[in-house]
Amino acid sequence: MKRNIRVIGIVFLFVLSFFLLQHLVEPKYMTNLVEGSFTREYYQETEGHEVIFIGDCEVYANISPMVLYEEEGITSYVRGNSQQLLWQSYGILKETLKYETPKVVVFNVGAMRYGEPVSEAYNRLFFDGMKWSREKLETLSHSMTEKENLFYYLFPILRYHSRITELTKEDFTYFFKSKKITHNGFLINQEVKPVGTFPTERKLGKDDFDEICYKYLDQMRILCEEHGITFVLMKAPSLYPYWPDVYEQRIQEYADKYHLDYYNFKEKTEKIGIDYSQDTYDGGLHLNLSGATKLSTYFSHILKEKYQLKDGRKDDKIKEIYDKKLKLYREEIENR
Amino acid sequence: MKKKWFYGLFILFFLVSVCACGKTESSSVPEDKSKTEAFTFVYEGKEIPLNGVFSREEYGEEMEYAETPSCAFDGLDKTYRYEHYEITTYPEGEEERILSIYFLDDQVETKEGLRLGDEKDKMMELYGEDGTSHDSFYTYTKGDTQLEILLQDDVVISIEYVYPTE
Repeated sequence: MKRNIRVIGIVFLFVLSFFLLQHLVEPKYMTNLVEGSFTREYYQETEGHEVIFIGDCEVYANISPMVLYEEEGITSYVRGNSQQLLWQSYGILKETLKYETPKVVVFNVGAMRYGEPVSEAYNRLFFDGMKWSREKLETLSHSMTEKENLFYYLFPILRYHSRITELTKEDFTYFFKSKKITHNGFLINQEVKPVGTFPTERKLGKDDFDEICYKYLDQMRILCEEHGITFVLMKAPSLYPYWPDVYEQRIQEYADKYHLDYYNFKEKTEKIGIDYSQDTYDGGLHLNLSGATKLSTYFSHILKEKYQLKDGRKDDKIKEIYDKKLKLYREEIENR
Repeated sequence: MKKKWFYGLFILFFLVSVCACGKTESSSVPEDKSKTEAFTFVYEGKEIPLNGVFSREEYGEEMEYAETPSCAFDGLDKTYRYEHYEITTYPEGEEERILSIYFLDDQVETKEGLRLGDEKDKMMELYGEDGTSHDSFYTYTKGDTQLEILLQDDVVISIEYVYPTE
């Protein structure tokens, strides 16, 4: 009996040490590469949302849910990651619908231009914080580049073991805890870098998106239909990477075919009031806080009017939650 | 029996540890692959090797300059526009390395003699059938470098040398 207890104790200590060591070497994404914390942060939400935004950096940098709430009382969350590809957007939407059923899902179409996995680095930012589920496994199988291996995701120590000699203060400070990086998925950036010059626009060898992109766009649309959710398309007003006319035509055709609303905000910049000498933090790729506030204000009125969304400000429970969120949001803006 | 189970676990841990230590990621500075077999662009007798270190002193002052950050990672891709071609670099430590060379007009040609406006037949003659094609987009690989050629109505409309970083 004693021997059994000893063996169990040793095994327990061994397994515990293994997982503690593994956690130590995993990136924490709290002060460096904070984009790796976006997927995980969503799990801290306690209430559902009326609108979910899905997409890449063109949503998490450009759409501020706090502004949507302030303006029209809309509760929303941005489930966006850097270089989030179509199959990842589908996976994260499917996962989101396990937790809640929003009234509207807005998908930013910018990633339609990418028909194959881009890089392991971006995959890591997307997956490292994602809870294990069937959706994660399915999405991983479509996302991994040739050099990647599922075991590296199952046992991150296999991928990150070399960090043991590169550990920083962050690894110890955030070993047991984490801090909020985004505000309902929106990443604040207040820097200003006016639009400059872009590389020459490459000629396209095709006049349509890859089949695989349509496949996952279809799956997102169908998933929303099955859940009674209005599926809306948008294109953020980013000036680069280029959004050629032929892409615009294809998306408009898709929207017309399935009777979807499509908002290309690049064509509305004047109306929105975006000034590219002031409202972008990286020369026109993403909006800064000022630009995102203008875009979100503009979009909030459309969403409220068109989709009859509830005014969360009139609900005591929601108001209490969002008052706290707004306080943190304003504090971060002031303290930067 | 229990002993076997215990030893089994121990061996599994040992194997996982060995695997972990055996795999090293390619985070160190890459070797200068421009010296090995690769596509190379030559302009006015001067070689401009892909993944070679870029400097203005070496390649001259550009006519226009653009920089594009990535969505999340530090460092910028920098683009230097010269009269007939455009060089894009990526950061590698303190250095800038050549990521791509894009032809802007038909005043430049590849080392093998292909330029914008040439016929598909000429491309096939120079580079053969070995390239992979997707619609009218052809990719030829030599070592770690690629030559990407786009055709429209069997005419070359785009030429770009690329060093794929991932």
